[in-house]
Amino acid sequence: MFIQLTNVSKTYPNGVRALIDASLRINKGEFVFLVGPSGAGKSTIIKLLFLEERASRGQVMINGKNLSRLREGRVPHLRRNIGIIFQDFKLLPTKSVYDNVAFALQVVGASSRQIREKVPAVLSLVGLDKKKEFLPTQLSGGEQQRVCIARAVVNNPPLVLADEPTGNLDPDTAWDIMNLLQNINKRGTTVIMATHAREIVDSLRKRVVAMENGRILRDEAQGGYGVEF
Amino acid sequence: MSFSSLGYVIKETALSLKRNAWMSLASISTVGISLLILGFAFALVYNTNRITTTIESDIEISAFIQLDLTRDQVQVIKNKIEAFDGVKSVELLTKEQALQQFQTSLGNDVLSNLGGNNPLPDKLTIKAQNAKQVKDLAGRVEGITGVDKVRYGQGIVERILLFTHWVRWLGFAMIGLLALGSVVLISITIRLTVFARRREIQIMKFVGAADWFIRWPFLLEGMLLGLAGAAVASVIVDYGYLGLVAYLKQNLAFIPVSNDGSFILQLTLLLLGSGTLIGALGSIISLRKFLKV
Repeated sequence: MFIQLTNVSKTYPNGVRALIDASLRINKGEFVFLVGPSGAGKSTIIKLLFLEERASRGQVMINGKNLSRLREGRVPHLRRNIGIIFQDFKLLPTKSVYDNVAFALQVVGASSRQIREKVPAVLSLVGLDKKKEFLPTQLSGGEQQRVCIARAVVNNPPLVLADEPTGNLDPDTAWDIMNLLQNINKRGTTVIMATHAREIVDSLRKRVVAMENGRILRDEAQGGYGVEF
Repeated sequence: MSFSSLGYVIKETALSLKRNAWMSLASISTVGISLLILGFAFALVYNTNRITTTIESDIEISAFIQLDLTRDQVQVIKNKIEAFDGVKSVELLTKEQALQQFQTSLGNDVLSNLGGNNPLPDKLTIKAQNAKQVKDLAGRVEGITGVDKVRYGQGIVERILLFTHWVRWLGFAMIGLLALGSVVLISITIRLTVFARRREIQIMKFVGAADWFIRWPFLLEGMLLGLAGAAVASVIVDYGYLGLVAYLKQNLAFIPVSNDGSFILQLTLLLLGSGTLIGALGSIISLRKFLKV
């Protein structure tokens, strides 16, 4: 699964130009940081990739498919191949850890046998096999983020998008989450992560795409957070 | 939809009803009360319609024939009237039959008291296909030579017609407004349920659920709420109506209200059907906005 943005611009209905003429290619299996201050356009790139928003101009391609030509009815199928991790976790407060993860399988019509096999496996991957009956409110922030990650990868998607996944977490917990994301990347999954976490970006030495005011400023193979911001 | 999805939908619906028990109760009451009023309004309109139809069909024109006409001439007049537009039936009551009736009702030998002369005229009783044509028809019958006098309850007919016209019109307007009101109330109630679960809907969209997969539990929930409200309303309407009919039959027997089983069944089915439909409509309307993620 490769991703190609060609001269993409996004203007929101309120007139904000969130992305201006951005071009970017991400290959299968890459780990890419999108960095920059708030309003730089990081989240907009993430939203364009899972079609929460559509590009105003330019082309967004995933695996050679032009997303701007994708019919509304096909959007669910695209999303089933993408795992999404949010800063605010977006867990269902009334469902247990197990059910929150199983939910992602249920909505795509998985059989109950598949659910019984896959959910425990992914929960042990994120280290939550002992807390599967807990409700999200009974978990720490880091644990809630792990549930969110488990839900994102339970379908084995080739692409994982993470929008500020460590934004609400203390530094130690943030590192746990980063290790988890790296493990997922090592299994061959492409990971794109938008972040302001300078320390993490600087020490991991992954590919860094630096943005500001809707433009891509810098794209380095083994970059740091940079001095611009 | 696969079998496991069906299980999911049923489980989600039951869970949501349980979790939002008070909200569900509120929805059921809303549907119930709206349909209760709707049910009684329907029964009222149905019966008013029935009564007015009965009254209208009772309107008839009596045409009295001049005394010196022969039976053949009378038959010619009868044929002529039968050929008029809008005539449903024409019946002849001959002077002999009229005397016979008169005699039976008085109980003695009227003819001999009258000195062997029958003073009664032949009478044609004309029924119109439509009560509105009565006046016009009466005028045309009066114009036929050989017809002496025409009687059709002049003045009263016009007033009855005006009255029934307004009763019908008001009844239908009332039902229409109530049905509209029910849909609005229910869609507001369901919107609250949907709003309470908007996060869940957003997450479902993000993990790749198809719109219909998201819609089904809400749709089923709305339909069940509508059906439950309708069931409560039908029980009250049916028993209330039957009680009222029994009272009317005893005290105002001349009012021809309907109490046959088929009407009650029709009323019940109408209420259950509209309850379910209102619930489904309400859910779909309320969901539309939240599915656009």
